[in-house]
Amino acid sequence: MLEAQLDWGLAIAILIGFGVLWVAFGWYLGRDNRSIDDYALAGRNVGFAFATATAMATWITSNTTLVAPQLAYQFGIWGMVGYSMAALGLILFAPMAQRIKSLMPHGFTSGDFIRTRYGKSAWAMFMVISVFYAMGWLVSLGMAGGILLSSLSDLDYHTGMSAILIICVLYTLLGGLKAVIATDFVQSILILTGVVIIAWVCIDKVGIDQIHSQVSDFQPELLNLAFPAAIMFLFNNIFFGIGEIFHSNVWWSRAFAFKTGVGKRAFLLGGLLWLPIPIVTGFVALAALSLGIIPPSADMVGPLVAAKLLGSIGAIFVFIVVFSALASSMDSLLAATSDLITQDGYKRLINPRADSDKLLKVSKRVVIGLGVLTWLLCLPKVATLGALLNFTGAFVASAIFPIVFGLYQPRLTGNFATAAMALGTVTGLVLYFVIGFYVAAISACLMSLAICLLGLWLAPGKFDWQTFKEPDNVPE
Amino acid sequence: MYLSETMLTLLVLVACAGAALAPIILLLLYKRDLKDKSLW
Repeated sequence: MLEAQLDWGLAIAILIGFGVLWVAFGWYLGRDNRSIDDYALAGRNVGFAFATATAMATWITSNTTLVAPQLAYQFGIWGMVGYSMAALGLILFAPMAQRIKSLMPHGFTSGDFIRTRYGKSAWAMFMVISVFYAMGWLVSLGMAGGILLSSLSDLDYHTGMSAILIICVLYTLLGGLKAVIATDFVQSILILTGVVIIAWVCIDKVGIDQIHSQVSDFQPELLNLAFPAAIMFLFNNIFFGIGEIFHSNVWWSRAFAFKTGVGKRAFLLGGLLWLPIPIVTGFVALAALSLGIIPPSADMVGPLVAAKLLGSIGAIFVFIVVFSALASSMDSLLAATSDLITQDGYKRLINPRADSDKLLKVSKRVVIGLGVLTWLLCLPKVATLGALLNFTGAFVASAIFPIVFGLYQPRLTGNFATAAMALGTVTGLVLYFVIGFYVAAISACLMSLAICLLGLWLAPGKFDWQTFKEPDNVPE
Repeated sequence: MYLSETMLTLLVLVACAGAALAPIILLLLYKRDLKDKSLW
């Protein structure tokens, strides 16, 4: 597909090189893991540098490097600016991370919080949302790995997909969250350097003035600041991003893992550092017109421009950036979903007396199980990745206000929190099919908010924050 | 209302500067945490 596609041997060499590096790194970092706290939460003592890097790198997915250019190509300015607004999720989570750490200094998962705060029915509804979203994101990352690596090189879909899964499972298995966070740090440096070099060459070789005049002449709508579909996308994307971060154990596990006092600063700085990336990767796509590129599919516009500007070196850059972006999200998701299943599934429902050693073994088995399940679900190649993730928008956005009120407002009760998540999800799904993907998250969020406010007005409760500190709710 | 060339240039250059600063900031934070022995 690309005129500067990597040949099979070079692509395999890059995959094996990075694979061996990450797995060895994972083993080295994991050799001191003694307890479930060490393995699942990196000893609950992650410093500011690693905390900031992992917050940012985990939020840089394959979508940030490929869908942001696609959106700029289709929606213009609002496409890339709208995508960058997903940084609001990280920024708004900053004070919540501090609140989570102070309420539950020994907590493990977002499921722990929901069960203690709202009771079993809300916890069950929340687990459906969490596991559905986590598997949706894992499968979309696995498929994206196969599709992207096969588009950027001579590798076939199944080789690319299997390689990224095997590498991520191995180093997550060996090193736990410590390995995930340390590799996130290196991956964030690689991604940022690659993206900036591509943008710099684009400005140098094509020029912003040339890009602006070409777009103005042939596709002026892309520069229109009152482009209705793009503005609708922007608002939906904000609520989708906030819903993803507020509910997912990927982010809660980090709030528990970061050193006391670090969470708020790390999420705030991570969000601010993430903010410009979709604009930088998106802007590159606007050069497609000036370079005479007509991509066979819109999501390949970024790699095509990079390959055109930098030739085979560009293809290597894009391959490494995309591989790092995929790995930095997939490893986090494997670790956090394994925590959720181990703590909320195994310990809560199957073996409440399980000690740290037992939980450590179960957690590692769950990582392998998740890897195998994801691999099986990724075997049939499905092209509509965006549709799968957009579908989860209705689920995750319905959890925003039950979580916010749960953390700060003692009067919201479990029954109304459950109803808010259930009715919000149903509303979002109905409108997803009736109107379109771009209203699923925002409608789910608004319905959920209405139910929460109704609950506060009709049947206010009085939750005691000290409940989180009671022995039953503190893991041994 | 359409985005002018000046505004597009400003948007892109500010974003590129931000993205270029990010790895430098991360490496400086790493250096500080390493010195203070507070990485983990």
